Amino acid sequence: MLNYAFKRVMLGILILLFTMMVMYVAVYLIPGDPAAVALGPRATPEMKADLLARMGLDQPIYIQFSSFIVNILHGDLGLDVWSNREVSAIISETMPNTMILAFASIGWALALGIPLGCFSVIYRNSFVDRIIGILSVSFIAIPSFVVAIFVLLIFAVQLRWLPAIGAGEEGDILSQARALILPAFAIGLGWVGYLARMVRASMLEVMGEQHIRTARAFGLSETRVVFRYALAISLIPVISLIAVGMGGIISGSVFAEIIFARPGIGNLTYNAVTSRNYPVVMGAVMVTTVFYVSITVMADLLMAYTDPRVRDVLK
Amino acid sequence: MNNALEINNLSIHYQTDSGEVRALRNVNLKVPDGKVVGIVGESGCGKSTLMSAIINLLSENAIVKNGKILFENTDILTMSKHRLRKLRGYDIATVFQDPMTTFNPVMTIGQQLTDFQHRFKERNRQQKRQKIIEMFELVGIPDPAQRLNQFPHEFSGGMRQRMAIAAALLMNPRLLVADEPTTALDVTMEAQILHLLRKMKNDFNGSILIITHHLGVVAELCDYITVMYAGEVVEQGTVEDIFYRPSHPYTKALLECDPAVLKRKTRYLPTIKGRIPDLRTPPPGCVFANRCSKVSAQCTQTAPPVVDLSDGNHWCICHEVSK
Ligand SMILES: Nc1ncnc2c1ncn2[C@@H]1O[C@H](COP(=O)(O)OP(=O)(O)O)[C@@H](O)[C@H]1O
Ligand SMILES: [Mg+2]
Repeated sequence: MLNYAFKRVMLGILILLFTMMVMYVAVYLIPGDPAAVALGPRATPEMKADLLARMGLDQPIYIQFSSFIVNILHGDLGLDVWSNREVSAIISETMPNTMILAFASIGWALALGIPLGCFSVIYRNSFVDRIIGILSVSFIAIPSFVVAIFVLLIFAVQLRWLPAIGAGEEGDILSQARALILPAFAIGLGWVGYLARMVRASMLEVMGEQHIRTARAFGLSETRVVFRYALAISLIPVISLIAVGMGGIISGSVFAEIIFARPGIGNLTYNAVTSRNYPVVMGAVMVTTVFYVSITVMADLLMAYTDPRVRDVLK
Repeated sequence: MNNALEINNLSIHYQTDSGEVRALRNVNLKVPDGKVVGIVGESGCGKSTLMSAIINLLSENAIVKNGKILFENTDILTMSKHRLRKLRGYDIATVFQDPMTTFNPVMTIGQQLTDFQHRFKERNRQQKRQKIIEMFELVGIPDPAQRLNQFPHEFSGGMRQRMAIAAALLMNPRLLVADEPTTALDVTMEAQILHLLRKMKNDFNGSILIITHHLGVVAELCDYITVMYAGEVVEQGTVEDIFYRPSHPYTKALLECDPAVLKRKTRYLPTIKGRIPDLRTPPPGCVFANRCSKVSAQCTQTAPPVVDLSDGNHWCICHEVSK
């Protein structure tokens, strides 16, 4: 298991390195003089040269890239071109907001989607199953930014139940939680439907296995069979889908953070890209990639752990 | 004498893409209280289908065409969900055919067998585990206390088979239905399990329905034998009837092929020539006609009559015997 974990982590680091390289080349290849774009037409050559030096763009690309990597290893992500603040400081302020949003979104989606999938199986092909099916597909079909705008208009603007913008008062958990509700709802809704469908399909397959017949033959109730005997096995393939889906959740949070004017990595990246603030873009992409890759690695380990057959093979 | 189980005129078909498989056709069977009944027959003749029907856990594509399965005068096939749950694993305990897939792969054996005792409210968790340990010792699982915390894949096929039997015995059922419970075992182990089943029969006065394709197994254990072929019961009688006075040509052929019953030394195990007919289109006459050595024109055209050989206790269906 340790050996396997080590291999997975090494693979994760490779993926990370590769992503950074692609990002770097992409930024380098963007046409036009970034200094000219950033400073406008009236900039003097000295100002441009100064800006290029601050962005580190006056060196050959391989030197830029390797010094970038070396700096990262020292925990140095460079400076914000405009405010001159440390990028690492900016990110460590905003990243927690995004992580909380991502986990809250997937969290409530799991808490609702998995039981819905199970009930679909318990009452399969009945009225209940159909209703859950129709709801699920509708949830999947509505884009999350549309949901975001709607709930914003209804619950924040019209009814004034919940705040429309921001992430809540600092240090006030209740206010932060209230600010989380609408964006997390918007991002997670599609996932509720997706998980309900996934769990249903995966579980129906498991329900055909022989050991389920054994559990029934010993008089265990259908609810017990579903939740105790079938669920764990059905969730194994779902875990990897959730991990892959975390990428989607992060892109979903870009919309949500912009719509709800919520400080977070999505909002930060958006602003940095539009203002050509490359060090911030690179830092933000790196941190989200680290987040995504670690989720994938954890999912792989969790899957291996859930299935004792795999766990033993990997020993 | 009362019957623990009575199957009347049972026909079950499977719906498949290539047509309806008539897996069971007009099967009649009785399991008297406290007796052991054996069902023998080649693979594919409907034995496992019969067993699934007995606990009303047929595959979703199975259709019951006609017939009843009576337990305490109630038809299992039309029982309420509630009554069925009480029946399963309490009145009737089952040992399924394939020991490799019988247990849940992600739960420990101890968790599962503890769960299976959910009806015994008077036992607490510790006592349930103790019961499992005692039963494992009885079926010959070494080191039972440690092994309770292991997962199914950590056991050999033979051990899983014995654990499946232990699970069924833990229920102290009125009727034990076992589908080829000794197939995965070597000869010594098989003898031990048979001994165990015999002992159980004496101790708790329950009935046993044991399914096998191996006549030697039933000879040791059974009071009555039902011989099945291609979804039909072709002969039924006491152990003595079947072993000493077999009438149906298929029963005779089976006896001749059984290594335990072979009279002469041979280099090759004899087998019955030919193959079981396609159950999607069973022949109009006798199902065994295409493999029978005494086949006549009549056999391929009309269904054979039931021939009573001793007051309804021993009977077979055969044109040849009826003459
Ligand atoms: N779920 C199923 N769907 C279609 N056909 C089946 C199914 N289960 C069993 N059969 C068919 O029914 C017949 C009897 O099978 P089975 O009861 O397993 O026999 P046995 O246990 O005697 O080997 C076989 O022809 C088999 O192919
Ligand atoms: Mg079988």
